[in-house]
Amino acid sequence: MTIKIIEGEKFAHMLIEGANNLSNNAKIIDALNVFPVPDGDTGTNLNLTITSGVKEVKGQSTEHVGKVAGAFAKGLLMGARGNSGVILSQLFRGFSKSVEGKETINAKDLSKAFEFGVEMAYKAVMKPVEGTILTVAKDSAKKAVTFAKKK
Amino acid sequence: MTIEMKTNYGKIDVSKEVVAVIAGGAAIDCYGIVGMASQKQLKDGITDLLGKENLGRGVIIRELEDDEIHIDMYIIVSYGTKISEVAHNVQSKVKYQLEQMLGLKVDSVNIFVQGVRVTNP
Repeated sequence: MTIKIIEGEKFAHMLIEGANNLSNNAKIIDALNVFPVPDGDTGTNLNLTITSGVKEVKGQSTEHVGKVAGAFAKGLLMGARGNSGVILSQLFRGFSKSVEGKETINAKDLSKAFEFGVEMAYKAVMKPVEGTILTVAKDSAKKAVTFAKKK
Repeated sequence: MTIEMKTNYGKIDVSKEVVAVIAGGAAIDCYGIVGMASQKQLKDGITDLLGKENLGRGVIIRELEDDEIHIDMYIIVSYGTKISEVAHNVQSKVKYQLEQMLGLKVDSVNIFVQGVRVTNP
């Protein structure tokens, strides 16, 4: 069975599972932390940030993808911690802007939202430093777009 | 106008300009910063006209009597970020970078958010 369309409920589930996955691997991310200050707290920061986002999603049950994404972005913004947390909140701010008003999304919408999120995230910095989460997001979005076009 | 550090072999003098450039360079690496707000309009204006990179812009180094060093940074942030967190990131990054590069202990890094830039995609 292939999934062609993501509904609000599924999307909320994806976010929650993603956050769980991040929480489980927070220690590994801590070990990766070298920039801007190598104090080994990236995993902890990201975990706190995404937990705040998920809390916002859980607070309101909705079938609407745009609204779920909006709530997630708001939660991330309010709970942003550390450099990576702020970047994550920007990525999803762009993402939620792109899917705003959409009840369901397909592969094309999703890839477009990824791309828009990256675009937004790059705007909020004077001198983007490659090799951070920004680069990862940029390359993932690029791949998602080419893949969505193929199908 | 120098910051002095004493070692067993002698002393190391670092000009305030150098400290300002390092602090400024560290700040613009931080996510959420879109610019620095000039505090010396004439000097920064001329540097701009000459088309030179000006990392020391918006950074004021103050040295008090008892060798205390305070850094004031005038930043411009991007709209839609958690500004308190961005400011905090700058503080820790600047403090860390100065300790790494110069071995300089800073007493305080004060952030002044002078502007917020809204970008409409």
